[in-house]
Amino acid sequence: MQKPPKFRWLFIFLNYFSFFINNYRYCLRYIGKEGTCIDKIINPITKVKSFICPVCGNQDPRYLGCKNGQIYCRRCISFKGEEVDLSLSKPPQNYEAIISYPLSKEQERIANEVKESYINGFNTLIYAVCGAGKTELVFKVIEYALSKKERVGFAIPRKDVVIELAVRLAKTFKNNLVTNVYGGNSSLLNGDIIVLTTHQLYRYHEYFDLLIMDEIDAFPYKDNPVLLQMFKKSVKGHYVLMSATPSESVLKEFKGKKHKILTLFTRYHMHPLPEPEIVISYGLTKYFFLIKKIKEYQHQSKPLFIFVPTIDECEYLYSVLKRFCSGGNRVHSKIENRQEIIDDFRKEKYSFLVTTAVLERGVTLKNLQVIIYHSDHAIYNAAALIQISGRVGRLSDAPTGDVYFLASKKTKGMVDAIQKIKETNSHL
Amino acid sequence: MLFKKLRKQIHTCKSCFSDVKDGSFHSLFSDEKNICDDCIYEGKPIFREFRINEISGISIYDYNSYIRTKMFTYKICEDYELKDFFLAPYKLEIKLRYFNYIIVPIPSFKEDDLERGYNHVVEIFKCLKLKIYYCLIKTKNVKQKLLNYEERQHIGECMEFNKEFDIKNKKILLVDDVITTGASMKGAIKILKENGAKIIEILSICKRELSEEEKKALKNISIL
Repeated sequence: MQKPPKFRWLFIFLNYFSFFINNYRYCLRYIGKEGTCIDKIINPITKVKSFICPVCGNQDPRYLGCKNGQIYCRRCISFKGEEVDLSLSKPPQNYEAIISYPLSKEQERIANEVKESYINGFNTLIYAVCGAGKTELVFKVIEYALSKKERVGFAIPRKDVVIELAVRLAKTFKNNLVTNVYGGNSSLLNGDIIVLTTHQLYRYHEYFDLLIMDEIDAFPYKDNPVLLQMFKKSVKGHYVLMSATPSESVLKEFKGKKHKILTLFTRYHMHPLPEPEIVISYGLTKYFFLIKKIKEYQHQSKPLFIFVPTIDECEYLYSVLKRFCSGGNRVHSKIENRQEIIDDFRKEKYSFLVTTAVLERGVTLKNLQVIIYHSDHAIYNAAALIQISGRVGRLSDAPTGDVYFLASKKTKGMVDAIQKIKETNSHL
Repeated sequence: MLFKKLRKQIHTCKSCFSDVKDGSFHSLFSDEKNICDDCIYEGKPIFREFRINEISGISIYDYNSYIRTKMFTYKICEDYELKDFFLAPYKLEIKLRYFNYIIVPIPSFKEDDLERGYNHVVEIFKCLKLKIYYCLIKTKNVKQKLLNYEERQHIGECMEFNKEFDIKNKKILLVDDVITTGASMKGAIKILKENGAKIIEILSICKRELSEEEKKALKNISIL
């Protein structure tokens, strides 16, 4: 946020001065608390003070507005648009899944269990480590649901992953129509299998018999009450959730009746997850460590990701590193041609990438190494750190790799992440 | 008087839904309490002067991405409560500058207004509490979005003057939400001058500066 520099000194002075008045006001807050805007909003039809939004279930009066004497909800106002036409959707004709490579024993067992629990009417949570091949586990359920002529949906919070997954699903279900729906691509809404971002779920009201949701701990869906409500409204039958790091509220929900948790703690190539290493250094020595590691991996011709918490830090760190090491680039959400850069990186045009959380999910590269710079930042909780270190060693050709947490102090998130990874490795 | 002001209740920001902090810079000068300082500065208000056909005007914001999204939620998602977000913090300055003026809004098609339930341009400028004359009427339902640069220049022909209003020797403030090419402004100015307005000034929420590429893109659009 920029403030005009003209008024800056005046601004600071006034804020400082008003501090004394503020203290007095906060005392009065408790007196006037009951008489706030809650009283003004009264439903004209029922004459009841409370109001519940039919779309997002909102009750908080701060999100309510009044238009021509009618109350409306402002929290979910941007989710507005064309809804799916039920008359146009036809039942699927063919239902064959062609899986290009065989599943391991563990995977097969869980895939069958998922299918069974769907037949019995359970909601399932698949709790599996990164790189366990979660997407392949649900192909059997999809096949079963299609054979029963039911509607199948696949929801993911990130747009990039939607595009990638739709291609993968179209390869396995060759005879079925796979449509992808995301912001900017919503002309075609019907299909046998619908792959969509969570923001588009409002178009499908009580539509899906089977809704699969991947990466429930990713950014826009996590802790967002509007999206959670829309997800529940769009399901008619049962749902399957998949995650590597489920939050406690989700685990609590799945302790109830008609819910089931399936766990898979081994990767499909049966190698353990690489354990991260904490490197503690201060000031300029951080840069020395980074430059040393970049040179080392360039010599071994291994690709490297350096994860950075914020966009500003990403630009700054890259501007420092490019003076010492050539052949790198940076990626964050404000760079528009980032897909090109990632494609170039896959072709080994660049040797290292400085990146924010945009590449946290859905990237599979051979021989990848990861350094998390400034890993004591507030945005890195244990779940995010596990997710990032799960990028390493996903392919069976190169199952090992290095993960470094570069920070100036140990935090609870870093210690927890390492402990959880050790725990899952002990199941081998 | 001071104690009355202090005893006021907590307000929530209409734009970002958080509590408005007390004792901020803007709250000293305006009585609009429902918008927080962060939201005001995020839009980057620059009172920029411009001229259309030798008539001076002022636009409050540039057409940046923040204002564009707010305009979108207000106009197309029909979020009525955002009406005070654009103009109300600067109510006092604008009211002093245009004292004794009469507001004439650029017309929109009547059936669109009925469908929406309100006229989005007029609702923004109602907080100034000046007289509003609805003396311009749109006769054809033409969407400017679908027109190219040259076709937009003839948009003034779709407007008519309502003879019930008398604007002879009066000061007039022409208002609109977004100015892109200024074609509808030119048409409105022409009609108002013919009917004997004394002084005309323009006030718009934001003005879009078109780059060369955008102008080229505008020229290539044909009617869908």
